[in-house]
Amino acid sequence: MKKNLKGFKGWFLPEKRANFERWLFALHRLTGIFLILYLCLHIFVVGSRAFGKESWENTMKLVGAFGKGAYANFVHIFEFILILVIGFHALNGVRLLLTEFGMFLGKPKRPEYPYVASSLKGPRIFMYFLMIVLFVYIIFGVQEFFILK
Amino acid sequence: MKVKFFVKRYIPDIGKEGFDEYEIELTEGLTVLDALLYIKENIDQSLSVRYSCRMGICGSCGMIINGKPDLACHTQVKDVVENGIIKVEPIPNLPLVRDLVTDMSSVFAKHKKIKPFVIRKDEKEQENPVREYKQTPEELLEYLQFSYCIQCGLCISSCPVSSTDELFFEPLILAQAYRFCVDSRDEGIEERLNVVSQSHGVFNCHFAGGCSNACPKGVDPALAIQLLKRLILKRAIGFLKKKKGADIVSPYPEGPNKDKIPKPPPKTV
Ligand code: SF4
Ligand code: FES
Repeated sequence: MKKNLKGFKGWFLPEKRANFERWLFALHRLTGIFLILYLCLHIFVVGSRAFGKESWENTMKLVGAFGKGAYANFVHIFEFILILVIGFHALNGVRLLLTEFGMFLGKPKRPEYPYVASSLKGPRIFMYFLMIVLFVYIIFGVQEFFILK
Repeated sequence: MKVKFFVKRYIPDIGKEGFDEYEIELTEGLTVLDALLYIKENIDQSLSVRYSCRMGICGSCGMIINGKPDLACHTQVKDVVENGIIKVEPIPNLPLVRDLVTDMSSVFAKHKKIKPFVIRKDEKEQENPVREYKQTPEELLEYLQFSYCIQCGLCISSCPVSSTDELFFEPLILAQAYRFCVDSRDEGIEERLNVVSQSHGVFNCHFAGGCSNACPKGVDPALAIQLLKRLILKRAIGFLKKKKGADIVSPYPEGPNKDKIPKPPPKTV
């Protein structure tokens, strides 16, 4: 007997004709891992203030806060991606929270064929709403980061 | 028309692994299970496949057919064939015994843990029933959908949480837990909620919905799991109403008339 677990492939590569929520799950995991790694970096950077003014300024230089040129641009784009990641993770988190309280789900009923599960139908509308919010958020982000800069 | 079958093989005794290719004639009404049995009878006797009812009721024949989890016995070859090819794989996320046969014993062990039966405080009455419990059609509808589960395990194959966590209470188990929690006759909700709210339990689910998409019986386990979470959250903030199991239909005034029930035929063995 062998275990035959799908492993991480199961998180990120849904099978054929998978539902949309599977991709949201994959993105949620991906952004979650990204945020954990970022949080370590963030604590390292912000924590440097505890060792005095000089160390704070040195780390600030390290992350290219006041500089110009390619490196500073790279950090800028990284920050933009970070905002997107946070936006998605937060909004999808809101979706999960609300469905955990049983909202938008519909009621159990007799399945009539061809059957589409009501838990996949109901929250969709809400999901589209969240996606629109995310889209508006991105537009503001682009403006803030790249145009008004 | 000829159809090529690529069947995933795994025989641990002789170290065989990988896909085998078979070619068979497509006939009218041929299901994937029929085709596999044809292969077993006429081409390769070493192929193992599990089946029983051949009509979508027993849940033995779940497998991945051309990338989609489905029951082999209710999948028509002509509906799923792509460029003359059908690829058949066993259900992932479950231990593999041989070829297309998976081991469900860990799932059944978890099923046992959630006590999949009506629990009553008055066990004596339950063991020696006089009459049935009351239940309205609306109360039936609360759980009916989830009781259609045939434990085929297809929902496990498309659950991303099960794919890395063997100890996770699979979608079908959580759906069954909910099914009994909301049964109006049941009085064991506390015990079940205690089991499923542990780690590897219901809160490991992040509503990817793969289970509901894969289920061939319209069970919608994702719905049951979210509603189960709601029960647990409600209990945590003290909003869960104390449930009293349904009453018994009032007994016959003169007692059950056992004389009218015909006697069983005499024993033959
Ligand atoms: S919930 Fe559906 S997919 Fe899962 S075991 Fe039951 S019948 Fe099969
Ligand atoms: S053989 Fe029973 S469900 Fe397919």
